[in-house]
Amino acid sequence: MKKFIVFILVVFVSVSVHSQDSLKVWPNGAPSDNGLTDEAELFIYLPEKKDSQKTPAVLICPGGGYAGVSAVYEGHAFAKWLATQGVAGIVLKYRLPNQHKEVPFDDALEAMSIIRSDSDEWHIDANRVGIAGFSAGGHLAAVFSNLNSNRDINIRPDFAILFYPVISFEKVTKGGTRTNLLGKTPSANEIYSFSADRLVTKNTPPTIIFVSDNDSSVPSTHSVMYYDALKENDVPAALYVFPEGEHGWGMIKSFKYYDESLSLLKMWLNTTVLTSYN
Amino acid sequence: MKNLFLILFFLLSAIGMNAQTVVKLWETTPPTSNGLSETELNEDGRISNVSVPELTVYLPDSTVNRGIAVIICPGGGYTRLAIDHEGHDFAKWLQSQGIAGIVLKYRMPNKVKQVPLEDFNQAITYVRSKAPLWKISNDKIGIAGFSAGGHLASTASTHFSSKELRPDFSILFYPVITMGDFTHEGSRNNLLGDTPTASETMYYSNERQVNEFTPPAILLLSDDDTAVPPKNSVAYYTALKENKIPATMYIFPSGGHGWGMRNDFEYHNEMLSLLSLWLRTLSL
Repeated sequence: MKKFIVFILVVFVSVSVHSQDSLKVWPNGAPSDNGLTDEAELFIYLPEKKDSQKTPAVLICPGGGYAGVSAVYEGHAFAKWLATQGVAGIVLKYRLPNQHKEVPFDDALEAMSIIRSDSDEWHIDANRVGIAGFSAGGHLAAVFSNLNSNRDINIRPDFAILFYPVISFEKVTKGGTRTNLLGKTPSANEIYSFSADRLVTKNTPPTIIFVSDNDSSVPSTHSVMYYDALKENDVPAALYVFPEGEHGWGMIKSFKYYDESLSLLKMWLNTTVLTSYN
Repeated sequence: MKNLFLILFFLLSAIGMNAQTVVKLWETTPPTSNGLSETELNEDGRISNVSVPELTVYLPDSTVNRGIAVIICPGGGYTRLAIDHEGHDFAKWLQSQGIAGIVLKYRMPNKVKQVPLEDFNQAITYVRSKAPLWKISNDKIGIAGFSAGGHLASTASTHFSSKELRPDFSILFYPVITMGDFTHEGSRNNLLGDTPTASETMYYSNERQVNEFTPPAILLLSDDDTAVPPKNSVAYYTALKENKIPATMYIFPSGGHGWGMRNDFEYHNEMLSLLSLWLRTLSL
């Protein structure tokens, strides 16, 4: 009997060390409708609790061209890595826009509100909540970094991490990202309102960007345009344009610069976000 | 006595293993004069009034030679040369990587704008002539430049008048690229004088001179550089992209300007590692 109890305890402990919560973003129904049946969800990966200090957190937006949500590498794998670095990783499986442009942003807004209001429960420092995005998720994250909201709770990310992001909608990218968000004939106003480089102000959060020079899906010029806009507005930033890798290499170990990219991100997190507060 | 001689012989050979050779750039006076005649001054590795332009050649050991050479242009605002941490130290690192590092002590323009490029052209001509002897491939002779030396390097990369004068690749450290709005004013004044014409300004704004023949480049700089705005590198990278030239750019979040080979630069090791990887990808 004693052995059995010990066995159960061991199983319980090993499961809870890598525990993961998930919850629906809209348990009572979303305010906006995309005409599809997908639901927005959050998947939470918390770091091991080392001491009483609260941890930073990152809301992660996977890519998928606004036609899918590639959550395996660009969501869960990244969240797990962040957790090993002492940062809570929170994957947002956002609803697809299906040409209803407000939908993914409503989901991100609500997710950010949930994180900041439930921060105590997850041992998260509400003043160190950033956003990350890959490809189309990078578009979502970059635009979101510059949104204003009249909600009571602060929705501005404290920092942003972008991987091969779509930034500008003034040119159409290969995968149909713009079309999937704005439809085939967006107005000039819609194009500008969703071109993240045009939204940057001095209040845009510090941002780090990773991209490959030979990216033929989303050219590196997107990343460079965003970096340029950050500089115009004196926003601290870092930009790493690797010689190769093409597109979509996030958290894939065979990417030639896998180790370098994570090492550089870790160094940036250490100075930007992980220095001890109060 | 014989033992002493043997010891001396081995000692000298050991020193000679990683020796450097100093070569005068011009056999006679250079074609264009910059009008400077004061004595050359070396203040703690910063050289001003270069009167005798020269090359210091660091060849790698033949067992590790990769057949690549880099001509290095130190920075100093076109008024002096920071020849140690942006010259010799970089050459020695290249040498340790099996790459020939050639420090170019170039003449200051003193508002005679052709002078630095004239010295580079002479340098690359010399290096190409030595390539068979040094076992350097004739398509692997590149240029590196720091700050104003980066302006010289990007000028050389965009203003070559023949195939022989074209560097095969460029390594640009926090370079001055433009002579326009976001330039480094000291460098511009020292190169072009206080009232350059619009056409002179355009001609030496290298982001405007990139074309399909411009060599591939790597740019290394810091985001918080207040001396030479990162916009310089961004503009050059963007121009390379418009012309479909392969390029790499690493903008580190900190470090400011002029970190060169200093190992107190927070990203010193990462920078060298990334540069080393890039050098290996250059279909080399």
